Amino acid sequence: MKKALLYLFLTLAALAVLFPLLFSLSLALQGETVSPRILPDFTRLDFTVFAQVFAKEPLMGRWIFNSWVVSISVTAGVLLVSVLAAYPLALFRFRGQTFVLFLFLSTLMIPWESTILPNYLTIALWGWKDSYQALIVPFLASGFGIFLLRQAFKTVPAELHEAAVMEGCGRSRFLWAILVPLTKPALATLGIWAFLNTWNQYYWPLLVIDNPVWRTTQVGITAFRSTEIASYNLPMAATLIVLAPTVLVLFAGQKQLVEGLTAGAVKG
Amino acid sequence: MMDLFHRAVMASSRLHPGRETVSAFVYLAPALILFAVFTFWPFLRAVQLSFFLVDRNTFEPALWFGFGYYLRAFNLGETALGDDWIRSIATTFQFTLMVVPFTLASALALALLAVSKVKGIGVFRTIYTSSLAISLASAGVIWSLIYSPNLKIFETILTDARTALPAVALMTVWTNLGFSFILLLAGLQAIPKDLWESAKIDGAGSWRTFWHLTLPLVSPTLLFLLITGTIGCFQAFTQFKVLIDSVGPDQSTNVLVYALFTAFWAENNYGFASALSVILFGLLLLLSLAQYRLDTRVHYQ
Amino acid sequence: MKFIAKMILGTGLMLVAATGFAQTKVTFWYGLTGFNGEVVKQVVEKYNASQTKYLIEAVSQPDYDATINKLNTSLAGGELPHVVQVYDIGSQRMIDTKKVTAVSDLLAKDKLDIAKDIEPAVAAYYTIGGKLWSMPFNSSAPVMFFNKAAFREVGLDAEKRVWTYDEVLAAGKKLVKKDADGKVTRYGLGFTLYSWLFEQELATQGALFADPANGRLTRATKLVFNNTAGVNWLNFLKKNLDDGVGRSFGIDGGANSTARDAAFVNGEAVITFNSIAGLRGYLKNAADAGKGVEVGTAYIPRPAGSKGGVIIGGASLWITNTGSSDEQAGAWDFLKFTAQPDIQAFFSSNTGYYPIRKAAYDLPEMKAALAQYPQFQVAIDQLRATAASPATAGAVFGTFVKTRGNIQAAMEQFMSGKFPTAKAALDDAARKSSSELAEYNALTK
Repeated sequence: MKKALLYLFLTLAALAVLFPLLFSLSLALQGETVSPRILPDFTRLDFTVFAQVFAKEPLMGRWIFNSWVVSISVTAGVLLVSVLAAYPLALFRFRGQTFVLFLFLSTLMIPWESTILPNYLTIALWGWKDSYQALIVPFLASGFGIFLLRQAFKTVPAELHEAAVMEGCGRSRFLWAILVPLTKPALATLGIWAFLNTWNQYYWPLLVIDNPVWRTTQVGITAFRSTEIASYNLPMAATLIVLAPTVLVLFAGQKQLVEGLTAGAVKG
Repeated sequence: MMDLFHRAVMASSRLHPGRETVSAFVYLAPALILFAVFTFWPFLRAVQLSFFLVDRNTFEPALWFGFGYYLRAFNLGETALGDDWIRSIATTFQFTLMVVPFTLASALALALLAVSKVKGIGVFRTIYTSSLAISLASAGVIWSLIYSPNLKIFETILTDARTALPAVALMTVWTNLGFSFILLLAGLQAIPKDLWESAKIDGAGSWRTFWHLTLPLVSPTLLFLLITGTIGCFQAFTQFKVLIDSVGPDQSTNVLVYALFTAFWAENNYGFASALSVILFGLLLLLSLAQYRLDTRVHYQ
Repeated sequence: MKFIAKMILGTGLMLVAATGFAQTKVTFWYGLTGFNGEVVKQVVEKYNASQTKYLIEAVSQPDYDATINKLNTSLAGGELPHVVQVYDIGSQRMIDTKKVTAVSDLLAKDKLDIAKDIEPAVAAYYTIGGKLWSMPFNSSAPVMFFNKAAFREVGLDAEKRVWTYDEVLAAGKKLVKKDADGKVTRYGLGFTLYSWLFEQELATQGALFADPANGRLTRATKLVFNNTAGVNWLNFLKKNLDDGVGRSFGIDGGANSTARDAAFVNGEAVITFNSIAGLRGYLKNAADAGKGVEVGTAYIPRPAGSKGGVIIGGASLWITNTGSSDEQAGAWDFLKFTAQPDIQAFFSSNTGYYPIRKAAYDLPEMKAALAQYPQFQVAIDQLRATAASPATAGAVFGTFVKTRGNIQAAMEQFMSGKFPTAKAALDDAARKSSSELAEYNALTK
């Protein structure tokens, strides 16, 4: 009895959480209609809508490609820059260490929105508008990433590092051959975090992209919203197409992300 | 092992500190350069621009304006133009108060439900996490159609000054739910089993267990979510752009970052936009300080 | 043998002809979207097919606002488009960028005399300080839309063109329908709070929006829309609300406009105000809705005895002075093409905007469109009945977008009762707007 009640609650909660997604799927499959319903007519589901999205907006494929290029590049870049910066912060002792730590900490305090105007001007002056680098380079250094990895690297005893260096194992070999393999979970966490964050970016691509060819999916799908009043199926299908990759990344890396986030962010 | 340790100690005493400093900065260089170019310089530049009338064509500071823009934001002095921006700040707080507690409460409820180890729980956990993968822009498109007047479910929800902000808040709660849920679930799972059991043996009711055992043990997670959630709400823009795309009915959804976007993007008032961005920084700094004090209390209670 | 050699040579020459001559690429940003955006694309395709020297690359922008905003922020760096479609109220801002070439200068250089054939009201709008700055492209003006069937049902004259405020109010009272519970099922009037209409109503009453002379001769320095004409219009709308005759759908734009349009085509609001360019959409949606709404048009309403007229709205094409001389020549060539009577007739008959050339009306395509849409003739007559004056030329100043926001906020606050009188609401908006304009002007020397 108690168990049945639990399942009832679990199911109700699941329906509540899933409602917007199920609803968008329902709208997507109803075809073009002036009066859409909550549930579609299951005998007349229109699966061609996903193909229609690409026909109506020939650039859709390009937008998805752009999002992948940008998200993968930022993820790789953030990992690289964070690994490099976290290494000395965690395992070296050097002059100005506290100051550098403070500098990095202060980047967490400056909201991105406070720097957006001058950053926009920088990108414009460099002639980077309508380019991948405009969407990638400003996001390569992440204070959060550096602190997450510093935390992970610190679990390796400094003595081990020093001994290895003395033994003639170069610093860079230690970093790539020992430290990085040892801290894979933290790196995976950071990678997923960076990927999702970049994939979901909206404000910045809206500003620095003038030519639709360079748009990313997030800005692209909002274009579907405004075109026709009566057609709900296309925007919903477009949204679902855009959602698919992140949902897959999440389900593939869910365990990793949870472990890393809890270890890095909450306890750190 | 002892041998390695011994050698390590020897090594550290022989290491050349100067050389380590040089190589440290080689490793730090990419991050330092990127931060200098994309965080520190732009921030200082924004502070500078906020004191000037900025030329719309060249984007250079043109005429000294002193604290004029800051005074305007708070509707003070000769440069005042009304309480639009005080209202923006108030709306931002209101929005945060709607989103954060509601997100935490519903995520905690979901996590308490999903912590039970029953058959098929994995599926439910995955479902509850799903919104983590959904961007604010996608969620905005989905909810803009849920709220669409043509669907006759919520006909005037976005056009009525009383319901527009709560409507955006609800959509935000849904989008934030996955992230909060998954962290709280992990927090609950980290509670040692014997603690629960001893509470059971002591005959503590489930309500008592919740108040005196569960809640204190997940409070660090809750605090973390409170901080990230609050910061997220103060920076909220995407959902307002996608769902409302204006100051909203009776300016009821004109949150600070939207006002900043308008000043920058639509009005090309770069000095004022910069002042608003510095105010946003100041507000977040104050919030962080407040939360830092709360943090020390939670951890050392 | 010779024949084959000739063939090979011939094919080679053709290849050179097709690919060898590098076409000069000219970029063109436009902000019209949806169906009308498609027609813009077709005009570009027509131009590209008409010659081989230049290739117009048309880049669609999300809307008018985004187009000028992107252009403004592109002044910081990056490439400007060679041709850009900018809405009416962006005109002064465009001049102030100092990145544009005035169309009248280019016309003079070419010794072209098409200005005389441009619709006078249109030419008046885009002539600032004695210069025609941009090439008008899509022009429109507002009309009063109404459901003819409902008018006939309650015994109102469905052919009457000029209505006073009092007549509209009286008509509205006849048109309102309530159900058994007293809930209104049909409003006489459904409207959005729209500054564009407010500006039009000022012109209809012959009143100025900005001083001096609407910024037509020298730079405007002060907003003066808080005059009797403005107060009249706000009071008219408020009276409709207070009497339960009208329904406000909130500030114009986005979902609010969609809701107003839906109410009109579904017969839930009998009268509304909108651009004549909205006619096609209303006809199509009213037919789709199947509620028997028969779309009619009349002049926008006015207080008894008003002598003014309407102001041209819409957008025009601007040439930027950036890029190579070839690119600029291509941009100018394209502009001249868009202003040809046949292209204007094509664009007008497919979209419902006014043709900017008088000669376009003589073409069969245009005549067919007028025969098909008699409602459009009303809009043309309204435009032609407008006497030229600074008031009907419309205001130009650099902070128009912000001022519209202020006016619409004031209207909203007056409707909701936050301001006791229309005068107080407009005074507040005018004070803010003047102060913002002064700040803008301080930087434009």
